Amino acid sequence: METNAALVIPKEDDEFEVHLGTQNPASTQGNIAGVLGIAANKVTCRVKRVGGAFGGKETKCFFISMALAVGAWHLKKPIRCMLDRNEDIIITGQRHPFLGRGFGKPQALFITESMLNDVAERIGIDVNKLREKNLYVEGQKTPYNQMLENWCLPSVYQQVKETSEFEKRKNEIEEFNSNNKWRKRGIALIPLKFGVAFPLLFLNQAGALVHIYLDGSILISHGGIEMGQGLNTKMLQIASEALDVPINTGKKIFYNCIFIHLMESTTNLVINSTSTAASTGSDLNGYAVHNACKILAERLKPYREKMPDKSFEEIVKAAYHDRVNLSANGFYKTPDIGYDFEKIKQLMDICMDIGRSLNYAIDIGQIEGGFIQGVGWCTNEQSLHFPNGNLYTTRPDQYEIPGDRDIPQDFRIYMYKGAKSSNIKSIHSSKGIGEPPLLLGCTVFFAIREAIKAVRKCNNNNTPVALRIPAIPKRVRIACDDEIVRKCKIEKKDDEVPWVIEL
Amino acid sequence: MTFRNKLRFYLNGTSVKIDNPDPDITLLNYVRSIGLTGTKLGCGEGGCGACTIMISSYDQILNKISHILANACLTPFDGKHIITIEGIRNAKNPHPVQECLTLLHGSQCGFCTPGVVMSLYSLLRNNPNPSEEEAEECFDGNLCRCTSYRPILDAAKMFANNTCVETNGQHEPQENVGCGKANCCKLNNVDTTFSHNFSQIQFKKYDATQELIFPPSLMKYTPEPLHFHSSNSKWFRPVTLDQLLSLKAEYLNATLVSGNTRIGIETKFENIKHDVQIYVGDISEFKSWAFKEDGLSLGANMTISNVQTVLKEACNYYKPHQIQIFEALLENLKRFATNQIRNTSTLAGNIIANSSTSDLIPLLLSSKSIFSLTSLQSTLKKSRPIPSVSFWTGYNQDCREISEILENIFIPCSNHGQYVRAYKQSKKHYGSRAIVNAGLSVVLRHNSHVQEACFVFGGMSRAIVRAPNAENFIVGKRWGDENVLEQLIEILYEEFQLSFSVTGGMATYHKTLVIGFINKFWYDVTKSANIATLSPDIENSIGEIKRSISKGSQTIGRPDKDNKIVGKPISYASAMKQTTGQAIYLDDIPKIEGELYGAFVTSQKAHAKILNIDPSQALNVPGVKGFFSAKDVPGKNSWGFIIPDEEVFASKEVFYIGKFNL
Repeated sequence: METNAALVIPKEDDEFEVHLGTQNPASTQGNIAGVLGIAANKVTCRVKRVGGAFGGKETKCFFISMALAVGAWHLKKPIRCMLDRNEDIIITGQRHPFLGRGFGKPQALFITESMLNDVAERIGIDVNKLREKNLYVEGQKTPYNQMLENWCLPSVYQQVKETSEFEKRKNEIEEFNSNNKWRKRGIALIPLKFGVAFPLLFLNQAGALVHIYLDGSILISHGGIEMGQGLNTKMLQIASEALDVPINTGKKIFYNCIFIHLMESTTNLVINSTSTAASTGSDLNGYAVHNACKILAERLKPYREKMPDKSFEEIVKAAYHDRVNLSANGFYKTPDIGYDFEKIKQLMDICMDIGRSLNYAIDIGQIEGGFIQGVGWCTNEQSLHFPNGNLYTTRPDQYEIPGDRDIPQDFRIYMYKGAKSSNIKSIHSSKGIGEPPLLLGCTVFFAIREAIKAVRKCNNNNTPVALRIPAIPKRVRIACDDEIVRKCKIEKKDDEVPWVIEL
Repeated sequence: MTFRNKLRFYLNGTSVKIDNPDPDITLLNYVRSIGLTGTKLGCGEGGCGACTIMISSYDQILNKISHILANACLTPFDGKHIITIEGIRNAKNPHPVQECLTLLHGSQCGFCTPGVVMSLYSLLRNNPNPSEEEAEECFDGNLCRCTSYRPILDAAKMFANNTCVETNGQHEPQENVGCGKANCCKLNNVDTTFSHNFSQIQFKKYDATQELIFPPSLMKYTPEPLHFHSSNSKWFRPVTLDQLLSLKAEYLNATLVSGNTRIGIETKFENIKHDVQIYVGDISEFKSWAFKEDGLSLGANMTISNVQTVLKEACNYYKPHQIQIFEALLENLKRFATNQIRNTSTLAGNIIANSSTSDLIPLLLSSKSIFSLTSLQSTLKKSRPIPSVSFWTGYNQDCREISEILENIFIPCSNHGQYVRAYKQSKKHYGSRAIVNAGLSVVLRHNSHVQEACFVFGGMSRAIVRAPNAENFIVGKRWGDENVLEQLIEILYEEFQLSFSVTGGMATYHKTLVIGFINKFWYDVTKSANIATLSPDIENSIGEIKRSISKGSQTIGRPDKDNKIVGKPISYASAMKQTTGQAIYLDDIPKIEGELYGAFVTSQKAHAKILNIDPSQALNVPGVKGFFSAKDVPGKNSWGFIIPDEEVFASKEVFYIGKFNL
């Protein structure tokens, strides 16, 4: 919801302090240094929090701070800018079926599942049967030669199929459709395997810096960005566990972290950080924080053993007096990029294997939120351009995202019951969360497509359904291809310019 | 008349007076400029709810304090009590709404959160015991991109009559987060080896007596005429109709403004200048209404939510056969924009703006409503009634004389045998503009004989239009006769000759909607007039698809029991700061001495060669310190994630609209 914004403050001797909302402060730092022709060590980028990003603030945000930096360089004054919504949409580009969150994966998923639908329809079998026959099995290799180990997708698939009573609902829908000419329903079940990692090996690294001050308070810095996904909360939990220091001091309500604090992400504390993206944030940074905390825990261990009854503050003081380094840098690189993530969902039932969650409430928030964003992607969100290239959809009443009464009326989330964590190498055996549920939004699309098929069946129309994403009401209605649609059809004349262009 | 030039109001319990404020400054600009940065700018057009605030006012006649939600990016406010997120409570002592939203994970990135809190808070201020349905409705003007809304709705339902949101007993939970209440039914029979944070929480009870009071001095507030001006605009607030009429006679081209939901957008986004604005929101005669013998008389400046309240009363006041139009209008207005907009936008504003997809106009036309136009002629007040069907004389032209204002709208009662329905198709069911809508009316005699018909459609042309061929055809025919329906549909296929390039770009779809609405209307009237029995299939398809209260369940795994904190569903670390508006986002950082504001000049052409850039005109604007483009870059004017192939500032050529200079 927060638009792109930056505040560039020139300091002495070509130093620049830049506050900005980005998923990628390290690259911003490099780019600002580049545009100003100065060294990266003169630029500090600081991110307190980002009001939502979803991949849109990974690279698209650079322009703003780079341009402001040029102005600040010449005028020697701080410059701030927060774009208006319409400016932001025009400048940074828009969400589009072939852009945006998930970075290519939504497209791949949609194309593949559409092919499966088409194949099933042509050869006259149930598309779910086709999917089931072709699910990967344990030990099989993917086209990228990745061996599938601890492969639980078939059983995740089975779990959601059973708990959602998929077959029963499907039969009920068929019966409803055969009794109703004017109202149709659809149901779909889409399995999804999702590899959580950056495809470029060098990006799979992270750093953290943990300080312990003399009053026993702890300051954590890591290379990740908090943008609503709960990363900082998870990092606090990991640090708390590793250092064995509580994050709340017996208070029932958790909001003031007395012992462990996380202030901001800044390029002079944790350097060369990778963009917080591709659902890797808690895995990469979690281990880095964990490693730094473990170093400190190890250093404090003799004092804790020596004085088991003392407060943490006293233990820290004792270590300090012994000249123990109370600051530690943690680093982590993913040992091998093994795609180990999968899950499934049905119209309103999602079952997901998320390994061992670092924080179930936050992960559920990510699953549900990602899914609704995916529903928007598949049903309503459409960028339209005028023929002269100007964007029409620059405002929320033109580019419509889901509202609170657009969500499923019955929205059930299940974690995979059989999750085995022993073989998962990630931090606390967790699995990345953010993007996979977004992709599952397409389940709604395929359910709509089923409903359209039911309309056509009613009219003895068995031609394949051609339906594009997003399935906006217009496309759904026209895809029904009944007598009314045919009679209403208005074709484009040769010399006619459409009002807007649909990409 | 004499005009005061001091704006007086209360802000979060404190009295504020401002001398001659700049008429172009919005309430949002103002509150943010004094450090109340919890209220966010999300879109500037009342579309997202990030700037939601509450406005309390006192009605001396009814002795009633009312609280309305509004978008601060749009709203005027003299004599009102404005409550922003900071006025509720803070993280140390949160309001139950703030606490509940925090603990139930209703805030992720938090940017929309203050607006969400305001919506729920305002609902409770008006009604401490809302229904679950009201709890869901209150967020129709708030957009959230991170959450699924499910946790927000769960939090809201904690304040509703029926509090447990988990009623789904079919599935055995493994380990469940519950609805948040310590005694949530979902937590029964759950293995509690892992202790839930939630199950230990006793939520604060909502206690309406603990709320910020309405400032007693504002109870004595009597609106006085106000006038503010800046170098390029004048703003007046008359408080009586006579004052308004004389101002209008003096400033013939003045724009009348009330909720600012249209004018505000024109000013900000469409660069339309309204040099003289007359604010008409504090003229009580202009907001009055009456139940007349044969219909409703509504002051033109009633807000849409006032109209909703009056229509509800009217449905009880009049006889069942008289309320066809009121019922249809009431149904329609539920889907009129959002809570925040309905609270401030007015009847007259909607009629005069004359959008081709207005939610009101189709029904006002098909119901044969009457508009009263009033002006001052010499010194005498003159009014003339104009039937709604004659009000518009052409595209965006109406029959008002330049000094005339729309004072009153009369909506007649329906007659015996009259059936009226409204239909609307939009991309989203709520808070969304119509693609095509319709106001359809038919009068039947002797049960099924059509005496009169009025079919009005929005979205079919630049203006709202009738379907005269279909209307003429149906008069004299028998309603319920399937052959008549077939012929009617055939006429409608030809009635609207749309071209492929029509505004909206969905010509075929628009036509199918017209056919669909008429089909629905046909069968609905057939059933309502007891003309024939319908097959269950058709009967089911007459009304709207009803949405039930949403519910969610989350079945989670079990954390490693050796863990102390990892795995626990604790709240977001800064959620309490987000729900109280204390979280600092980028533009909430206080201004630094000497700070400048950057603005981007973007390409208006998709593909263009840059021949010359001449900023001299812009540099002459007072306050402009500099203009920077490619030639001013001290280092490299290029960047790229892997290959540096993108320019920072366009130098020779632009490739898309939106490429910029600073």
